[in-house]
Amino acid sequence: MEEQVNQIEQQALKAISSAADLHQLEDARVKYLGKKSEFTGLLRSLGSLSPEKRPVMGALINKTKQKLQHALVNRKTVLMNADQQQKIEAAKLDVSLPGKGVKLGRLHPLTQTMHEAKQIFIRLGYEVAEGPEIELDYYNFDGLNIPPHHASRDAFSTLFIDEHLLLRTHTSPVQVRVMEKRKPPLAIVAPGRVYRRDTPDASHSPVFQQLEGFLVDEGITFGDLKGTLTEFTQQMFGRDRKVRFRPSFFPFTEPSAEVDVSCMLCNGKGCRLCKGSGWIEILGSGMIDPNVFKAVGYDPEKYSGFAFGMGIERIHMLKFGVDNIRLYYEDDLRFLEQF
Amino acid sequence: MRVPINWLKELVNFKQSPKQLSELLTMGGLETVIEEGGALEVDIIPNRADCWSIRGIAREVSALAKAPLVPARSALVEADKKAASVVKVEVRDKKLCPRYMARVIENIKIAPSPDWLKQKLESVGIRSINNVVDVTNYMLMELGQPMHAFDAGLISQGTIVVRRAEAGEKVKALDENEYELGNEMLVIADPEKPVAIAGVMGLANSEVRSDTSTVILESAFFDRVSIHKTSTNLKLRSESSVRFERGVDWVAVEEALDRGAALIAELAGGQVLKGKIDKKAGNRKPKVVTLRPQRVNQLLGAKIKPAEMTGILKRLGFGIKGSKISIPLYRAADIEREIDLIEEIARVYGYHKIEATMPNTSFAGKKVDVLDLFHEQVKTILTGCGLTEVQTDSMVGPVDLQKAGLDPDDAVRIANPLVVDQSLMRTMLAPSLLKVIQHNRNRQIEDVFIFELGKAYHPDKKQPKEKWVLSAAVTGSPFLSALDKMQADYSYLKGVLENLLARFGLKNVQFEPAEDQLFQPGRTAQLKGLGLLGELHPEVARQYDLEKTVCLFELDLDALFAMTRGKSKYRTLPKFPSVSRDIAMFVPAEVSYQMIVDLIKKTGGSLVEEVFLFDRYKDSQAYRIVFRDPAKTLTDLVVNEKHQQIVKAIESKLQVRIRR
Ligand SMILES: [Zn+2]
Repeated sequence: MEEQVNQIEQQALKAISSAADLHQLEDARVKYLGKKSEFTGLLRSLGSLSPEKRPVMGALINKTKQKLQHALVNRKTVLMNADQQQKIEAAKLDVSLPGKGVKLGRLHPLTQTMHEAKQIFIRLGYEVAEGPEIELDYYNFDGLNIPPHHASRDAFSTLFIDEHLLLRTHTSPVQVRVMEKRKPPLAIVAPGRVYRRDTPDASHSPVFQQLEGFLVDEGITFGDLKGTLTEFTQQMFGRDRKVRFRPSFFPFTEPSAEVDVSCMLCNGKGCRLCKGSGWIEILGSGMIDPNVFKAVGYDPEKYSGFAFGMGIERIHMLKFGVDNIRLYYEDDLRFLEQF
Repeated sequence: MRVPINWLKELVNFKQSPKQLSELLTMGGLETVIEEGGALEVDIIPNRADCWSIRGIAREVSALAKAPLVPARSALVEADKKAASVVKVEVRDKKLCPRYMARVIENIKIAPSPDWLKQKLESVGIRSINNVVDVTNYMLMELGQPMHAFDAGLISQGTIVVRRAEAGEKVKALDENEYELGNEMLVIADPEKPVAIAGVMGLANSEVRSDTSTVILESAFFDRVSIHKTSTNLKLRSESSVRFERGVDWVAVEEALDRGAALIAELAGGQVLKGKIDKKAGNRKPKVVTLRPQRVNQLLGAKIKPAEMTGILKRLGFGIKGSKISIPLYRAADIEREIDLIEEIARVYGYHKIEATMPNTSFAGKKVDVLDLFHEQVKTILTGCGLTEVQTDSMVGPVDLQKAGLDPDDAVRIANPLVVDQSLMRTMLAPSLLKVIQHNRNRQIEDVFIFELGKAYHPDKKQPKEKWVLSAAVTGSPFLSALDKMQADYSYLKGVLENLLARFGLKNVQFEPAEDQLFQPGRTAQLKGLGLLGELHPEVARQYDLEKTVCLFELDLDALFAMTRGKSKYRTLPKFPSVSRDIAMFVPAEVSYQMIVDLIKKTGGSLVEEVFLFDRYKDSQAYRIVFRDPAKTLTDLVVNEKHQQIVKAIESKLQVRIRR
């Protein structure tokens, strides 16, 4: 009987190890360890043995059974791994193939730049306000201390609808409209389109966009204008940029200042972009002229404030080195998709 | 303006290098660059009339560099004969000509100018003509006072009349062109004919010639606005008109006349006759303004000492008497208030010396602009849906509107357009988007998915209406990969629009069949109160040369904004399971998806949570209905009963055959 057990063990181990797949392995298990197997028969026949031999043979059979079960488990693991491997193998693909899905759209570069500029002021506590683009000449000129015969008011520079209606030439009319309706303190930014009767070329577009801002309260100083616009300029162009304030002239501010930032191309050494000066003009600003306050019924002795305005195209052009303003309104996707 | 450094040195004693000088002027408010040939190019800001001369710049340098001005030397010797015996002046319009001065120089010999004068004029780009004309140009450049020399022999009756032109009066100016004058224009004339367009240009009939022996030298002060209008209307600008329209110096009118006359006598021989004609409407005196030093510092946020303030003003030529500041006449055009003085002090003191601070204020506002925020949300959602934002010109041409079947007469018209293509304000955005598609398609870009959020303009009573509009146009494949073959059509863009509306909680906006000249019939829907969605009409597509399917929508964004204003509320998540039932049916063409969904919802009532179409082939459609009771688990009995009601309703009310 002992010999018979050994023989079964040898055959079974051979069958297990040579099983090529999980089916053959299962066949081997049924054949050698199943209910109808020789092995089970042997176990059943243990009762016919002598009481002395019975435990010895019993132990042998159990030990062999464990050995075979162990071999079965091992073989099964090997075969399962191989099976999985085969499936993986079959599922291999070219991972470099293009992905599926819809291509995302983009925001227009001017929207992006306008948003960036606007957000800087919103974080400083400013509100957003808007005004009409087809504006009354009063708001575009007179209310802003621009006299009736100023050069900007003639039909060569401004687009008119009729005698008193025109396409606003700047976003500054929003100042007058807001101040007419509300009392200080006020901190406002006004984004929008403006129009000039300019023949289009690489740096002129008859339509372009501005962001206007102003702040009015008691005790606002020119130093506050400097602090605010330095903060804006450095957030917009980088903390390493130098900022300077240069005296200038606008009818609706006094004192007036042009804000220059150190050239981003040459770092202030002087190059073609900055025409050798090392500085680039990015903002017009100034303390709001007392005449503007008077026109809206504010007491210029009590209130003071500053105002500023910037061209969004210009800022985007400077930041990205775009060399033609017309690209912004042509909407060539190869241009738009670069930003 | 070109400023030769050597010439400037004759007028002000500075030690700065050209580079330092240009830096000083730039940071003092006059942008300056160094030019070749030892000159500065100074950009004169429009309010600084006084800077349109070498002396004006010299004054600036003096104030900014604390350098002394060099006084002008001139020795005028008058003959015994009186000027008044040769010329009489009559000013008929004192408003347009508040001051007219003249001198007479006799027995001169016209000749080329000496080299020093030729070179001087050359250094500012003026061609030398002769020893009389050159002197007037010299004074013009150095003092900023335009002068004119007439040949006295060509002035009839020795009489100069300053009058308005007659309407339609034709004259031939020194530039050889003929001009037709209007009666708002001022001329210098003799009793017979005009001899100059006042302040703009002399006429050929009275110019100094090689045989001229007596000249009448004119130096005047003309009305700024009048000269500006004349120069603009005649499209004629000269070195003179540029200066008069900004305003000249009342005092320099006389100074230039005296110096000019003396120099002509010196260079051309001859004698300056005794006395000068001076016809003026009253005398002008410096205006006096009170300056409060504490106000200066309060507004600037600076700590400038009062003595430093007055020091600056003194260097700029202002008179000081305690707090009373008198304004020199050459600054009369731009300085008349305390705030103007504050600016002068600030710029000469140096903006860079004023400390940068942050405003110490509490804003009452800090109100978020919800409309602005809404616009940004819309844009962000649409880019997430695969649409790229474009921005097109708000000005269009009649052709742009006509191509899209719109009437140019409905648009706001620009009275003085630059070109016809930009003569109207757009009434709709869609035509501009079609143009963008065309532009891209002409550059081999076939897949165009774009939107614009912008204004459309409509005529209205007082001021045109400006409405925010959202428009989108799609054509081609929306996919990253060309392996995906689907091309955008009506349902694709409807999906985009549904996503947008759903994002704002608008789930039940109805899409109803509609007709419009821009869209293809049968593939167009109207969203009540919002706008239209549809495929482009083949006729319009042909106008733009577009062969592939283009789908568009255009919505009234202000209306959409109003619809989104309701606050959305939180609903608790369902506690009980839902039960689904399917219905398959054969749907005739006249019954729409919307009709079926509406009927199912109406019949099912509150137990129907959701209905959707999940299979569709020819006229066969299958709908899944999701039932849920928020308060308890639904039993089959209840669901089956409800479902049967729905089936019956569909059969009876829509005459749809149910597939069993
Ligand atoms: Zn540079």
